[in-house]
Amino acid sequence: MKQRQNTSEPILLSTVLLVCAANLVVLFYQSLENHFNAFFFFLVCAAVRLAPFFFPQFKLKRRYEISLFIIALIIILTSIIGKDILATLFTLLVCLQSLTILRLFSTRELKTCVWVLLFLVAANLLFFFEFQNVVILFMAVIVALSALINHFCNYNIYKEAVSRMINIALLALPVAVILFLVMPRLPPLWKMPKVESQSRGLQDKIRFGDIAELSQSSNLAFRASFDGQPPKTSQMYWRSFVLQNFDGNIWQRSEYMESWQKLVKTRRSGVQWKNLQAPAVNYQVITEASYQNWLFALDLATSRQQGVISLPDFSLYSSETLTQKFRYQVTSYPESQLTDFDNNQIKQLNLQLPNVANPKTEQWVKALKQQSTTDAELIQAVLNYFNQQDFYYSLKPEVLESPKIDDFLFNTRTGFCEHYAGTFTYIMRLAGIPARVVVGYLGGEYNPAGDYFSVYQFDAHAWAEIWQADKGWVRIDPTSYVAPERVEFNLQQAIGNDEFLAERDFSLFKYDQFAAIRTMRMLISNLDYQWTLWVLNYDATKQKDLLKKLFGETSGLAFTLKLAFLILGLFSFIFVVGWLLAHKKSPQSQLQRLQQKATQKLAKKYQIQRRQGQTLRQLKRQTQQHSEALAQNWQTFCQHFEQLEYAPLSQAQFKIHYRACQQLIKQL
Amino acid sequence: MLTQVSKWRQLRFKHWLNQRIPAANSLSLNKRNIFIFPSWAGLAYLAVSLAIFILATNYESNLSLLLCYWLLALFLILLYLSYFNLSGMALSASPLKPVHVGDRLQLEVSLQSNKKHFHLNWLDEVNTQIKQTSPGREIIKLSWNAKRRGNWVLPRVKLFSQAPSGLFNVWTYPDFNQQVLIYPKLIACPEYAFGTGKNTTKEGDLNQPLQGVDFQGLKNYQKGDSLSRVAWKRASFSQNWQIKHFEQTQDQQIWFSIYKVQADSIEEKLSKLAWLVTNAHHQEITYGLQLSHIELDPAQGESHLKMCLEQLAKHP
Amino acid sequence: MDKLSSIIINKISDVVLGKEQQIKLALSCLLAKGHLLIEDLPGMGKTTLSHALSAAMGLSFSRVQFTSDLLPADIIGVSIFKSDSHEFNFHPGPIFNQVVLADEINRASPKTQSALLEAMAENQVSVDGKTYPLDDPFFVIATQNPLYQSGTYPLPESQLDRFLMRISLGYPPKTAELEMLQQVQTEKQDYAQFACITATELTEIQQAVNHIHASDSLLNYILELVSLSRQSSEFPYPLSPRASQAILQAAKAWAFIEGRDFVTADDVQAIFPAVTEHRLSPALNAASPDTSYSQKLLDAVDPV
Repeated sequence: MKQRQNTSEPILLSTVLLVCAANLVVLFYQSLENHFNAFFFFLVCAAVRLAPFFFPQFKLKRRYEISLFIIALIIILTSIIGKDILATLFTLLVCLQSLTILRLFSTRELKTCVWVLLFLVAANLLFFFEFQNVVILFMAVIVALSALINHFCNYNIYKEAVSRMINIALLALPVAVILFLVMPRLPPLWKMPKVESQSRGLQDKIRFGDIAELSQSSNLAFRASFDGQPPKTSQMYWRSFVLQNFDGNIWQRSEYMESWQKLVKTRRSGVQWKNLQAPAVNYQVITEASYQNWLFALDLATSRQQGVISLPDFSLYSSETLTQKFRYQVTSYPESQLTDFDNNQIKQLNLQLPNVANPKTEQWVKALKQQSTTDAELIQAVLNYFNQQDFYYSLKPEVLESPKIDDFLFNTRTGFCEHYAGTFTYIMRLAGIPARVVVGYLGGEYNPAGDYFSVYQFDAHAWAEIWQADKGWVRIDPTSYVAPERVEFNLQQAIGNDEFLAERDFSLFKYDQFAAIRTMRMLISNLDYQWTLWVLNYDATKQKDLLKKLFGETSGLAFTLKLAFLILGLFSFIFVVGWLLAHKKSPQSQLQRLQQKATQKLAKKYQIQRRQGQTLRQLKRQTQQHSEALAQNWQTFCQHFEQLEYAPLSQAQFKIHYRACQQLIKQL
Repeated sequence: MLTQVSKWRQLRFKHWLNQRIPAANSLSLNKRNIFIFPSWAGLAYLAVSLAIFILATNYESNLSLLLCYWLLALFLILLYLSYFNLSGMALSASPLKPVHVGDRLQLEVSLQSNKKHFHLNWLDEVNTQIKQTSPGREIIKLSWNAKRRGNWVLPRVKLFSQAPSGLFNVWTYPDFNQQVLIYPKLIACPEYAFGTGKNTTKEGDLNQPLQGVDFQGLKNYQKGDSLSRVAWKRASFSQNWQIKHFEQTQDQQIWFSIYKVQADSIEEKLSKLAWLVTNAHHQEITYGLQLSHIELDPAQGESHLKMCLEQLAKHP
Repeated sequence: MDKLSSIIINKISDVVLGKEQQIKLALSCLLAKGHLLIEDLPGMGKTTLSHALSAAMGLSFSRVQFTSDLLPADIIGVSIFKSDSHEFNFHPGPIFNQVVLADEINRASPKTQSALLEAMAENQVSVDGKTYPLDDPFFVIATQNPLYQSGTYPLPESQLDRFLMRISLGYPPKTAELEMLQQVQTEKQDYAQFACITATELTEIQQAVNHIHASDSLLNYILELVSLSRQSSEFPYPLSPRASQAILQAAKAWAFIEGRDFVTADDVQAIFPAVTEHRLSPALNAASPDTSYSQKLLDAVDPV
C-alpha cells in the first residue's frame, strides 16, 4: 500500500472509533463521580465526529459548532457553582476532550486527545480501584494508545493495531511492576484538595429503617483476616460507632462524643486502654473507601497503627477520611471489661430521653419496673416480651407513625435490627439504666482460599449496650431474641432468599445455592482481596519488607549494587524482548540465518563474495578455484539447503536436512 | 560574527555526518546511521507521565503510580520499536537520468528488507510518503525540480519516520553519492531546423542554410513556418499560402552554431540549440554542433545527441 | 523420469551439436505446454532442432515456410466443393500436425501471422463456421531472422506474449562445428528410429510437470522479480501476470528435466532470460549486448 500526499494525513475511521471507545469508558467512569451532563455532551460530540464516515454528505454547520462550544461553556460554568475545585477541573477536562474529538481532524488533535485521556484515567484511578474497574481503565489506555499506533502504522484494521498494542502493553507490564515494587516512594509533595464523594455504608444518623435499606446492598464493607484462630461468627460484633442522642425518631452521636472526634483529629491520639485482659486476638482489616472516618473492630480494640485512634466509646476512628481502601492492624481483647474512665458524665449522656413522649411504652415500662426487683429481671422481661410476642424480623418494616416507639411496640411489631436495638435502649433509659445503641456489622463470610472474612453492607447491624456498675458496658442484642438465625448464621438465613437482596436480581449472592456460582464468587472476591493486599496497600513499609526479603538489607553498597543490577537486568530484558518482537522468528528466518552463516564463512575464509542475485549453487564455480574438496562440500550443502528451502518436507525431514546443513557449515 | 559561528558549526556537523554516514550508492540502516530522539509528542507524553506521577504521589494512589510506571515502560519499549521500524532496511539508489531544466529529476531508491516498515517520509521536494512497506523489495521515486543548467549534485536525503506511536522521531541522512547533468530547457525554433551554418570567421567554407536539401514539393502554410520559404508565386493566384518543402537527403549534413542562433541571452541560445539537436536527432539528420568552447563534428545517433546535450549543459 | 529426459537430450545433441543448453530450454518449453520462438540467422540449425525434437517425442511434424504471399488458408486448410457429393470437404492444412515449424514467421502478412497465433491460443481453428480441434500435444516452433528487416512484419508485443520462450541458438563452439563437418560426409539423418517416447507418454510427463512442488519462498522470488519490473522505470515493458505464470511453468519443466520434484531458484534463473527477454524488450535486436533487461532483474533480486 503506497500513497503520496503532501498534507498531513487524514484521521481514519478506525482511529476515530478507537479514540471514541477509549473515551467512552473513561468519561463514563468520570461522570459516575461528577454528573452526566458532560458525558452526554461527549456522546453528542462523538456522534457528530463519526457521522461523516457513515453519511458522506453530512457537514456540521458553523453555527451549530459554535452552539456546541457554548453548551460546553455552560456545562463548565454550572459545574463551578456548588462543586469543589476538583470536580470543576474534571468537568473542564471532559468538555475539552469532547471538543477535541469534535475537531479530530489532524494528528495534533489525536495526540492531545490521547494525552488528556491518560491523565483522566489516572484521575479515575483515585476513585475506582476495584480490580475489575482497574482492568477496564487500563484496557481503555491500551485502546487509546492503539489509536495512535493505528494512525501511524496505517493499519486501518483496528484489530491488528489493538493486538499489537496489547503485545507491547503486556511487555511493559513486568517492567512497570518491578519499577512499582522497587522505586522509592515519595511523601506527598504538597497538600491537595481531598477527593470528595458521597459517604458510603453506615451513616452516623440512624432513622428507623435506615439499616434495613442499607441491607439491600451487597457491596463489600470491609475484610478481615485473623492471625490465629478466628472467633465464632456469631461473636463477631464489629463495632463501628456508638449513638447516644435520641429525639424520638433519629439516633445520633452526642455532642460530647463529637467534640472527642474533633479533638483526636487535631491531636491525632486517642484513649489508651488499661486493664486489658488476655487472650488477645490479632487481625488486620481492610476497609473499602467509605468517605467517612469510622473503622471496624471487635471489642475491645486497640491499634498501634498511626492514624487509628481509640475513642472513649471503644470504637476506632481514623484521623483521615477513608478515600481509598485502608488497611489497619488491630489487637482485640474480647474478655476485657468495657469500663469508661468518665463514668458520671457518660451515665448522664446515656440516660437522655427525647422530648417526644411515648405514653404507652412509658406506662408499660413503669409496670414492668414495679414487677421486677433487679435490673437483670427487668431486662429479661423485656427480652422475653420480644421473644414471646409476635414480633417479626423483616427487611421491609412498615413506616412507623409518631410516637414511633409506641407504634412499633404495640402496633406494627415488624422491624429490623435498628428497631429492636433502638427500642430496647429507649426502654432501658426509661427504666433508668444507662444504655446506648451500637452500630456496626455482625458476622462475615469466610473465604477459605484467601483465609479472610468478607463483611458486606447487608451484614450491617445495630445492637444495644447497657451500663452496669460492676461489669461496665454490657452488650445485649435484642435482635437475637426475635431472629436467632441472624446471629447464628447470617441475614440470608434469617429472612429467606426471597426477601434477601430483593431488588437485586442479578446479584451473585442470590444464587449461592449453586456451588459453581458460589465458588466463582469466592474466587473473584479472593482475587480482589489479593489485589487490595498487594497493589492498593503497597506502601513504603511493605516495600522495605520486600526489599529486605529480596536482598537481606536495605542500605549499604551491596544493596545499591544489587538494585542497580536488578534495574540493569530489567533494561536488558526489555531490549531482548523488544528485539525479539521486532524480529519475529519463523522457519524462513531460520533458513535465512543458515544461508547467511554459510556465505559469511565463504567470504571470510576464502574471500568468495556473493553478488546480489546469485544463488548459492552459483558460488560453486568460485569454490572450485580453491579446492575440489571445498566445492564438493559446498555442493552437498546446496543440495540440503535446496531441500529445506524449496521441497515439501515433513518436520522430521526438515530436522535431518537442517542438521546436515549445520554440520556442513562447520566443515567448510 | 554570529553567522560565522553558525557556518563553522554547520561545517563541523557536515564533517561529522560524512564520517558517520559516508557517501555511498547503497546503505543499510543500523545503529550507526539511525538517529532517534523524542518528538514533541513524546515530550508531551513524558510531561503527562510526570503529571500523573505528581497526582499519584500527592494522593498516595498506588494505581496511578502503577499507571505512571507502566506508561514509562511503554515509552522505553516504543523507543526500541521506533528504532526497529527503520533498522534492517537496505537502501540503494539507481543512477539519476539527465533531464532538461524545468523537468523533474527522479531518483529511484529501492528499499529491501525482511520486515514491514511503517510511515516512511522522505524530505525531497514533494515530501514523498510511504505508509507501509511489505517485506521484500520496493522502489520509490523521489523527485526534485531541475532548476539550473549544469552539474547537479544530489543533496543528502532525509528519511524519517514517527511510527509506530509518534513518540519518537527516527531519521537518517543517506548521501547516495550521485550527480547528474541538467540539460538546457528546450525552446522550439523551427526557423533554424535545417541548420544555421557554421560561423564563418573560423573557417572559410560557407554552408548556406538550405544547402544540401532537395526540393520535395509544396505543403500548406502553418503558423510558425518561415516566411522565406513561402511559395510567393503560387500565393499570388491561390487562396492558401503554401510553402516549399525540402527533404534532407541522407548524406547531407548540417551545422548548428551558437554564433548564428539569435536570442536575447546565452541561456536562451543554448535552449534553442538543445531543441535543434533533439529535433534533428528525431528526424535522423546528421548534424554538427558549434559552441564557443568546443566543436562537435556532424554525426548521428544516441551517443552523439548525448554528447551534444552534455556539452550544452556544460557550456560556461 | 529424469533418465528419460537425459536420453532425449543426448539424442538430440547428437544432431544439434554443442547446444545442450538450448535443447534443454526447447524441451522444457515443450514440457511446459508452451510455444517456442527461435530467433537466429539462417543456417544455425533451427530446423534441425525442431525436427529432432518432434521426432524424439514421436510427434508428427510439418514445416511451413512463411512468405509475404502466404495466406491463412495455406496454414489452416481449405473447404473444397466436391461436385460429386455436392458438399464442402475440408482439407486440413499443415497446422494439423503435432509439431509445426513456422519458418521465418515475420515474413508473412499480419493476417497470416494472427491466424497461426489464434490457433495457438485456442488450440482449435474455425473454417466456414465449423471448428476443428487441433492435435493434442500441439507445439509451435516459430523462427525469425533478426537481421534483414526490410519487407518483414515484426510480431506485435501482444502476440509475442503467446510464446513461452524465445531462444537463439548462436554459433556452435569450434569443436562441435568440427564434428559437424566430419558428420556431413555421412548420409542424411534418419529420424525414423529417433522416437524415445510416444505422444501419450508425453502427455503424462506434461501432467507430472504440473505437479512439481513450488514452495512459498520460490513463488515470492518470482513475484519479486516480476514486481521489480513493474516498479522501476528502467523497464519500459513490465511483466504481465501471464509472464509470471509462464516463469513458474517453465521453471517447473526445467526442474523436471533436472530430475527434481521441486523448483529451486536456480531453475528460475536458468529459464528466466528465455521466458522474459522477449516480453521485456519486444523490439527485435533491442537488447543491448552488455546486460539484457532480464539479467538486470536477476542481478537485482536476491533469491530466497
